[in-house]
Amino acid sequence: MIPCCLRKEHTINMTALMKLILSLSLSGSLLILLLLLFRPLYRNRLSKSWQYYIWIVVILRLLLPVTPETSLAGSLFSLEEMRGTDSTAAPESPNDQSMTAYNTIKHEAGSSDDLIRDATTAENSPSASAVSPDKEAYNEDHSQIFFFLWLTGALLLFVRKLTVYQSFVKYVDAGSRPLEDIGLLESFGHIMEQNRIKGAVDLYVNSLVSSPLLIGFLRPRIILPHTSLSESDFYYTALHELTHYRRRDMFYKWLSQLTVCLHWFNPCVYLMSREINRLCELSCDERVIATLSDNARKSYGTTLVNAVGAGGSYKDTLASVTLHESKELLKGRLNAIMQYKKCSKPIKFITLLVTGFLLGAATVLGAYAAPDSHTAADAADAPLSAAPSRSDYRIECEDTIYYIYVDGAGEADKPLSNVTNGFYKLVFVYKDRYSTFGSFRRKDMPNLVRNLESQCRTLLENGRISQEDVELYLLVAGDIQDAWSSSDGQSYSASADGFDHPDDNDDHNYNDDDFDYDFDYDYTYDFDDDRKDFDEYYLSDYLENRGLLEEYNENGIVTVKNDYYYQNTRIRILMDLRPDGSFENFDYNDRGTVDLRLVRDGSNKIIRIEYLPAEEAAGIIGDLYDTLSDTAEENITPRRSDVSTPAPSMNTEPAVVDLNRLTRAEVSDKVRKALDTCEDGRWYVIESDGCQYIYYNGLSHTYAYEPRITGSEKGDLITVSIVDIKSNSPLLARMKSANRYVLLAFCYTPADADAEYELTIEYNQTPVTYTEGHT
Amino acid sequence: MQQISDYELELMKTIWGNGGSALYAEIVASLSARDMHLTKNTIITLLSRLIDKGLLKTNKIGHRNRYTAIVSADEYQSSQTEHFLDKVYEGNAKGLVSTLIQKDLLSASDYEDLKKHWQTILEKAESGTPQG
Repeated sequence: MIPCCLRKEHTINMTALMKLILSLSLSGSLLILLLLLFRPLYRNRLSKSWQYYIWIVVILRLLLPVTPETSLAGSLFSLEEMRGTDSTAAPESPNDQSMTAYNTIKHEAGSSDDLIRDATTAENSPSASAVSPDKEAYNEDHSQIFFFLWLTGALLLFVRKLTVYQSFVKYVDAGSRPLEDIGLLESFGHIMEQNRIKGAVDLYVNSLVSSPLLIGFLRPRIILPHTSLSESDFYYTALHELTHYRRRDMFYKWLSQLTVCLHWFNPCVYLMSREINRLCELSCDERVIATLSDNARKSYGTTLVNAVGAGGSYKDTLASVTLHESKELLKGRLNAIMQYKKCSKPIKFITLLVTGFLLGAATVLGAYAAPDSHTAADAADAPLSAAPSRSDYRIECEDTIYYIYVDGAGEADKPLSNVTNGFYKLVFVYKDRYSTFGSFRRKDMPNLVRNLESQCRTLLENGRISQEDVELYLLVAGDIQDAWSSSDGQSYSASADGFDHPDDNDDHNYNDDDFDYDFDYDYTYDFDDDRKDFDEYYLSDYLENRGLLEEYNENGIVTVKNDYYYQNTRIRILMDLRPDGSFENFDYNDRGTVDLRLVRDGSNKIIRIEYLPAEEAAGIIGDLYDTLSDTAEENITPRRSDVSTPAPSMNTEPAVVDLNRLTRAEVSDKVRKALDTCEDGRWYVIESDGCQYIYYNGLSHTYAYEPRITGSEKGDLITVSIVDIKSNSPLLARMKSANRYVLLAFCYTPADADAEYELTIEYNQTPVTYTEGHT
Repeated sequence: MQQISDYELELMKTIWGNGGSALYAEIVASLSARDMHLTKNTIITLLSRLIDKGLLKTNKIGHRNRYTAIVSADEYQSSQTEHFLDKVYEGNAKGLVSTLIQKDLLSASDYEDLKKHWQTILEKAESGTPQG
């Protein structure tokens, strides 16, 4: 379950990442096409340097994921996103839907029944199954594949370019010898000084290179094919290569190569790379001849021609800077040299204008911005700027639940049941869905906005709620928080609901609940995270935190390596019961020999340690092994129905709840068939022959469970609380790996046979939503 | 040891003459004192070639490089002599010495000095042998 959760989170990021890359590529492509399309207009009018460097704008557009608030590519991709979510709004990941405190559920009449039927029919007709899978997950799977394809392509291409370049450099260096001729070195040095070129450039000779070239990032060096150059040829060659060096053309080339690698799937970037390479030489020539006289320009042209065929065959068009690349290019360069004219003022002005236009275009084109680019600070400030008007929602408080009716939703849209166990919750009710936040403790309420914000953040990042939702949620939370700080927490109370209101003076009211497994560390709203924390939470740490070990020590129970001992005997069953019958602690160790029950008084102090009667111990073990679960023996879970909160319906005759743990082998064939159609990681309540089966696949079988009845005007409210038992015992570990599902048979006979009742399932204190079905 | 060019040797001499290490500015000053004016690029290039050949190393002092000789003048001379001996006399030192004397490259008094020097080296070697 945990890896699944991680995978999901990653794919969400990947979807956003893929969208970002595609949007960058799209924006960049439009710019590239724009530049290539209008090239006939500017190629002979604007300076070659401008034509060369304007591609930086394109490269930056392709590389930098910065975008204005609204951009062409951004809105295009967001539009696609909205269309995507419209059709996929209903199905949520089953796991999250059932297990987190946050739920967005479509609850149309009978929809949950339909789901089960859908699942059943899907089995028979494969074509129908295409409808039911989560489309979002489907998309995410695809974006994951695309992401890895993209990454692999980019990496392969980059590594290839790098190795080709490196081996080229290696070959060149191997055949090179340093230029010893001090005369040439000195005249080269003078050229550098004349042109005020800083840094140091070495000179080498390698008869294998096809033409003079400049290589090396850290130690730049010019490789000459031979030294028998005329004075002017040497001068112009040196000047040309030094101009490349001065302009850092190698870095530009590698930047463009990097862009090609990242956008390898986009044919436009290859056109761009070719243009940059071509213009690199043209603009370098332009720069060289800018200071030359007409005659000198002709000499420079001659040098270019002389360089052809002067050397060997080593050539690298990838990333070194060569004097010539091809005859066509050379012809173009020679023409350009002879046609060279200085830029006039109007041309300079037009250049500026076109540059500004392209910069604007690059900005407007923008990129896709993932929703998570909005920071939490944005979210916090947002209500001030775009506050939804107050009339949009209505707050009502029932018990410890705040119902916020949004967009005209009414009582009818309210979730059927919501039991809080004394925790506070916010339920945002929409016409077609609702979102629950919590559980908050009493002490959290004065900081509700902050608490809610942290819950919202991840949901926002996951794209499950929108920025507008968050703005509304935080606004409402602000209202409620204000009400709390004016010590009037129940100001929205509707109070005509028959619920018992929590005792405001009791800071620990949730602790007095009859089945408390609050482990004193923060539950996050995300179930999967809880699980992780839970598993990683080491038992002894947990007990130590509660001061339990110390307390045990005082009572003669010692722990050695997570095993409990009493009077030097290893304990098999350790039941540490609160006065209300709930567990303070439970441990089972199949190497132990004594079974103990610890009894606590009203102030939760251990008052008695007693040995468990043999049959009770056998019952517990039997239940743990799941072999005796169909008998009427005691469960490890204390029956609590007789001491639960007094309810009106209890006045007549106590209702009977029969709740039993089952294995799959123990249920009837038709129930098993129904279970087979259930999705993993989702709660189900399946009715069959007057009994209801609570089912969840993907949880350890070593859970404790307990029914709880409270009365309301509508009828009995039954809460089945399911809690993970933690224990280090090898037996439980084996059981954990053996059966990974929860299956409970639930039969309820109300005191009044016609009375209706409502079933709520809690897992580790958090109410979960479940799908109803029947055989 | 790799062979170095004349100008590289000139640079090595300025560094040796400066106590085995020198800053770029000191090298330039000492070169111009010997009436050698080289461009900055040439000097830096030659220095980095010397680093490649393993005769120099650099360490940065602030923004400036200090060039330190890894090989001393003596070490360089003896290794160059060995190289020369191997190349020209095929390792025959006697031939080299006789050429030196024949061509009056080694005066009689120098030769006596050397003989004395050689004697003391031998005595030292004998007395030093037992200690190993």
